[in-house]
Amino acid sequence: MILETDRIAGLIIATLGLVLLFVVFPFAIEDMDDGSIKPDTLPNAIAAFLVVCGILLAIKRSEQTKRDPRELMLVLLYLAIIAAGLFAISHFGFLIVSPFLALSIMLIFGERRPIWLALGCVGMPAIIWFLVIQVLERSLP
Amino acid sequence: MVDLDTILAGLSDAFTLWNLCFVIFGVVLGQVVAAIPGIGPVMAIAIAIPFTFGLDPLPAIAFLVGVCKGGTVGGAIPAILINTPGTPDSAATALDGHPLARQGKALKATKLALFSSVTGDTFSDIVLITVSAPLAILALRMGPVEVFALMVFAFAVISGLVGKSLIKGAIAAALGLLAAMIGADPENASPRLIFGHFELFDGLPLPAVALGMLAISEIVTRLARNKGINDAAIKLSDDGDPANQRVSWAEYWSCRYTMLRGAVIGTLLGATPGIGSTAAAFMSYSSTKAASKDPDSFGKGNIQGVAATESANSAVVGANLIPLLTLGIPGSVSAALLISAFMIHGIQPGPMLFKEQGRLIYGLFGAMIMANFLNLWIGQIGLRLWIKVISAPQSFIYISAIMLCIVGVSMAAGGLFSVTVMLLFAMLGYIMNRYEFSIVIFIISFFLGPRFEISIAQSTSLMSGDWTKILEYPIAVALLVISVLVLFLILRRSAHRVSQGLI
Repeated sequence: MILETDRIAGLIIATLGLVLLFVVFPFAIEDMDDGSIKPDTLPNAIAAFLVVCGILLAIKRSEQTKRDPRELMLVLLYLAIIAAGLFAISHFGFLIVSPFLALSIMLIFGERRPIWLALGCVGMPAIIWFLVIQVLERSLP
Repeated sequence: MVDLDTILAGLSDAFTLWNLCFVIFGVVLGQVVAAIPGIGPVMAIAIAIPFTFGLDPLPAIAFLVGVCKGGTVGGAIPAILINTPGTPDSAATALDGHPLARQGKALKATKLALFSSVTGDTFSDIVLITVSAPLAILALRMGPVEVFALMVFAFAVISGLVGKSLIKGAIAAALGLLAAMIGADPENASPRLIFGHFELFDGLPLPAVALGMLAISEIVTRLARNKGINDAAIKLSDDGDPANQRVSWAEYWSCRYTMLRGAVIGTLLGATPGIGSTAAAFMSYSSTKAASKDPDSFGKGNIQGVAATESANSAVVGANLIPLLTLGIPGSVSAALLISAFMIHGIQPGPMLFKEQGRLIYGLFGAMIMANFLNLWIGQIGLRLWIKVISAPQSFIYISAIMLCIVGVSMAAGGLFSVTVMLLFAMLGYIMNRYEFSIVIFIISFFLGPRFEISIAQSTSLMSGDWTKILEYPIAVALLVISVLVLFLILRRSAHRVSQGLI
């Protein structure tokens, strides 16, 4: 059997279902006897359904599509930058962090034009500040 | 029954310059904010409600209805132009709208979305105004067992028809339901899968999940794929062919059955609490694709696909008010926000509303009719202007969208924890997209999950734990049989296509 991506995905889904069923749910869902159905009834049913579907996906004939690993790395990089930005926002606030967040993402993307860099790093945070603080009178994160 | 005097008095209340101004303001605001990925009409309504406190009930509600209706048009613009739906409802519009934009027919696609949206919306408003009371009586007869069966039917259709693979669709639906299990369980209120994070007690915030999977995952994918390309997110190509920039009467007329089907689906699902416009849009899209003589052209820029989704998701807006006005049950997040605004203004939605405040309700209907005409008028004038909003370079658009999503989710769902949730779901969305698991099915299942579980619990209680008693509920049995038949037909069609070498 060739390990196509769908087969691997099916095996991962089936494993996830089993882990949820036998490891996570007994630990993370309290057992209660009141009510028409128990708190873990539907989650258990869904996990079992995932196991069945995962196995079906793993054994069925499927297409093999090439996927670019570089794209995955870049996506992870951008998400990591946003996550770091969120961490910094929680300490220093949106107004201070957002220009640096914008600048780093725009530079990595390849933007070099000063006007658009300025608009992204200063203009947009300023617009958001005006909209949220001045117009809507709400607070920024 | 409301008498004619009350109806006419209500309509005359609505058609004043003062109300007109509020409807115009609402429609403009709805169209603009929904055109910006990451904001959307739901958040606009949530933010706008406090600003209506000082107004009389009719202009306040008319303004919010204007935002809702404007949002259905505006949400299609980023879906078509940059494949980033302004609202989850518009995700289906992107399937054919974005390929049309790539072919240089962005204005045609957005204009058709506008016309289809107004057509579907007007249809559902007519249904609302004329038959809301009889439909409410019908909905009153639907108990938990029928609601459960209806949801099974919705899952079967959506899992089977959205995406390429029934198994992958089913897995996406199961994952969405699983995400909906996080938080307090509906029967005992005991915490499930919250791992010590009490912010999760009320469940995962829908704005965080929806924006993470639909907007952020798409934005980071585009940032990764288009690295170094500093052109506009989408260029509105003007090749000198006016046919690509407008919708001819013949094109509009060719979509009449598609729009009618979409409007009927949107109205029926909108009148049923819990299903919502995203499901309506995809069901309409799927049924149009299934009925088409050329199903392979869908997803590649077929105008019927845009007409199907926009007529359906807009029809939901008016129909959502049927259970809201007659039963006091919101059919969607927007309707839930509207119901809270109603209560703030002393309006108690429910069966007695038409009798006690008939004049106000018919005033509201008048405002809805105005909002439809204004949506069309403002949409035609403003489309190019709203398009300018997202015609800047990709780098600027995407970073703006990321910042708006961060601020928007933080404001709508309460703090940075929700933004972290959004980021986690962006990662999940990317992985699901990469391996062709439908994120739209995931989100629909996630939205329907809590109600699905409640309907199972209530049905179990109603049947004393003996599910063979379901045979005593003919509507539920019919819906379940139809679900099985739909799945069988989908599997047979899929097997046929495989044997023909089409897949």
